[in-house]
Amino acid sequence: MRRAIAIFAISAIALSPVPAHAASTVKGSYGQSISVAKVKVAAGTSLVVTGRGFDETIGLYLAYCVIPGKGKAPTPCGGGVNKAGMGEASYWISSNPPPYAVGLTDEFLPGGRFKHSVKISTKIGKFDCRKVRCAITVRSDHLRTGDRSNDLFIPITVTR
Amino acid sequence: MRRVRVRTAIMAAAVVLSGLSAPQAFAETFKFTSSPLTNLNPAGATINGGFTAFPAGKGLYIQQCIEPVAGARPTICSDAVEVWVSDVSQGATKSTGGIVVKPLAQISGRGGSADCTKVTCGLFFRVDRFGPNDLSEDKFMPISCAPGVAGPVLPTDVLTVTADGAPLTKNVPSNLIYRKGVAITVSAQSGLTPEVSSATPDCSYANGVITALKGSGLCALSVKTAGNASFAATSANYPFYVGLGEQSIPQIAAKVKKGKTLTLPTESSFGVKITFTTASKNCSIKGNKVKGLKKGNCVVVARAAGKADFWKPLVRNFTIKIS
Repeated sequence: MRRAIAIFAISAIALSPVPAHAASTVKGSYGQSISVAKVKVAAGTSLVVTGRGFDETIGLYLAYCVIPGKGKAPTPCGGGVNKAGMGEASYWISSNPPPYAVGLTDEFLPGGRFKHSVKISTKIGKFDCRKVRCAITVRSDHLRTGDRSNDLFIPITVTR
Repeated sequence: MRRVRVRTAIMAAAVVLSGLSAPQAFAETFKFTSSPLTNLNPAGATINGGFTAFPAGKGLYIQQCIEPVAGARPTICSDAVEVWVSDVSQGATKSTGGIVVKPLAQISGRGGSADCTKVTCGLFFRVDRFGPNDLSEDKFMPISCAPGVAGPVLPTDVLTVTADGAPLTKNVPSNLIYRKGVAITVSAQSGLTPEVSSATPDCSYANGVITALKGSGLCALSVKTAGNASFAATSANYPFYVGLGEQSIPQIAAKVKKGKTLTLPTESSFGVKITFTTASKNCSIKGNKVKGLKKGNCVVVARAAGKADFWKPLVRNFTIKIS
């Protein structure tokens, strides 16, 4: 009887839905993480994304993207691949950019941290984020196109 | 018959001994193909080449040097004719691209000077500074010049480099710690503006400051001048040993009134959570809030964890006056 109650209790905890508006943090393979305060937002909202523990020698893109197939780079993304380092849909974060990009990138804070606002939209290109899954994402920058070690996703629900 | 047997035994022994005493022979793993290395224009030649095979995970220097004695490295190599090829180090030429070498009729470097119209010179390949004892890729490819008039012999530029005001010496490591920027100044005797960059991804160089992005290992600053009518193109590397960083805590107010609460910072300069404790009876601490209980001094101890290969732990005492 006690065992049955325990199983029921564990099942109830496991099955209870996480509130869609709850804060979310995802961790990567070497302890790096990104966090947002809520995952259910209205289109046009800017979400503050906090990153911690990243390898500062590797540049990143932070963007709002359609979630890709497993093992593939996130694409398409709001703002595209932001080599110009501008726009609030995507950011190029690098403390050691190539010479042509000095001044265009946002540096890591010490400890491999960053904090940026990312604008959430209903659509990314022709994709409707109310029908396909979209997410706040980070990935290694275009100087390490094949590096998937920094791919992190926080799925976002767009309410309107 | 006995003499034949003795001679055979001596020959056999000689073969065995020669096999044992021969210097360790390395066969390089790279393959370099190029335009001809012979009959080069002494007034100025360009060798265009490229790698069809390159040692994985390593970098190579290609330098114009005099011919080395067998089994040794050349004693004189040019400071000006040098190409750094690596797929793992930022600032180096990639092995997958074209390699351009512009040999000179006269070379000079740390080992002295040589006239390549009179002695045999060539391209010497070796593993870069990250494998100082790795001789496995050492290879000399001779070059030769056609008869003719050599171009003018230009001296290498004299580079003056300082880090926070202290002079740096080429190839002699200095020290750097994680996230403590060091101001670099560079000048060249030629009057040319040197091109400065971080030669390694673990450090960044921007706006005259080199910053370590890790707290261990080695970084290097690359300084180059293009050369002019009076000076040859010159390049030099200034290495740095990288050490653990020193985290700090933001400024803390020095006083609080009795019965009031003071909020202390939650994170160190490197984003590490700070914990506060006190043994003082004049105050109490809960989380990052200090409450003044009695007039007097409140000594607080702040602690933040270190991170291996990045920064040291922080322990700092500070005093808050309860008024």
